[in-house]
Amino acid sequence: MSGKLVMNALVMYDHQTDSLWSHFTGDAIEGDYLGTRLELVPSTHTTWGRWKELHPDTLALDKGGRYSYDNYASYYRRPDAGVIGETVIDDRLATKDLVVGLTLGGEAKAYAFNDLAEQPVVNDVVGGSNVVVVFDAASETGSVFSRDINGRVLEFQLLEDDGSGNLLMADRETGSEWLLLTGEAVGGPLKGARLEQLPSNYSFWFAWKDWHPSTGLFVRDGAAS
Amino acid sequence: MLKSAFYFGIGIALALIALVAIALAVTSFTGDDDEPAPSPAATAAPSVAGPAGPDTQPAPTAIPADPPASTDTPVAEAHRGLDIVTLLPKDAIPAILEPAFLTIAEADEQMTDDELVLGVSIGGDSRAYSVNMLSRHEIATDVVGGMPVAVTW
Repeated sequence: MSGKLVMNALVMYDHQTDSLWSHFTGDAIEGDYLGTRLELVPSTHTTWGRWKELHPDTLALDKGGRYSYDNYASYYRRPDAGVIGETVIDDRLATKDLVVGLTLGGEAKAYAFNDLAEQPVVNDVVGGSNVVVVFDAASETGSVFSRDINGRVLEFQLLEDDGSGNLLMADRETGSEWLLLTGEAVGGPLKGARLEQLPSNYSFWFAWKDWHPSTGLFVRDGAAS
Repeated sequence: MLKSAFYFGIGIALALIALVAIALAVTSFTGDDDEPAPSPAATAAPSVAGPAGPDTQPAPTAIPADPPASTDTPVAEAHRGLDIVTLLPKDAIPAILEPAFLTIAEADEQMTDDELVLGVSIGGDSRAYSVNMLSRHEIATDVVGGMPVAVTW
């Protein structure tokens, strides 16, 4: 870690060229790799309990028995925006509201955890791509999947909890049942199929709109606009 | 499904994983740490605070927790936003360069079910990275499913 920040985001350096990189976008901001962007890989922010349930063969980073709490916990709760303050003023959300951030086809869009908690399955089109944003408030898990599969576009709706503890959604086109958080079809005609997970950011609102000042913001069904 | 990553000279590609932007100098640490936390310079507030650009309102609504002594210094448009601010010496927060991994049964002895993780699953290789540990190290380099990645927080 370089010891530096850029617009409140961690600046990484690489050991090979000493170039500096913003971890928020993956862009090189100084050095030989200036102008280069790293590929964002899909990841899932969730609880250990939920992750091991979804991925029963997972490995876990060895903490050596340490790190029993998050030393940034109080920072997360305070309203201040990083170290240098905000670059763009956009009060559609509070500074530390958490969002799922998505950039596709040159378009940026944020989905607030608070809204996703009310509407855990959101069918949307971002940058021309058909996506579904899913959310589980209990484990703070927000993920994004493509709705394109085998040449067709699906539309999803949340299924009522069947008592098994599995969070499920169904597609209107075939009625197949899908695990909400992995995008895997577990019942119906498409059983065995898997939606492609798309890269997304787990971010504070203030950082997301600073890096993406023209971002769209999801407004949930029935919410006053 | 995954597009090609960028490769460095010796074949290490960094792929970015989701993140909260973390502010070092404004973080307070609790006293019951079981491991010395990185100690950011609490007085190292940058001399630039909340610059306003042409498409913003004239002043930030949030005041940095540790504002610079002089708050009336005009901020040049050219310096807004992408200023690189140095707060700590390089590697004062050491990245995890050689991560070790545990099975679920082993990990359960040191993690609770409600502990937050960043999960990455590539080509059937699934790995969970404790957010508590990432907060202390900020970057973990790894190879998941054959893909070199940097897990950042």
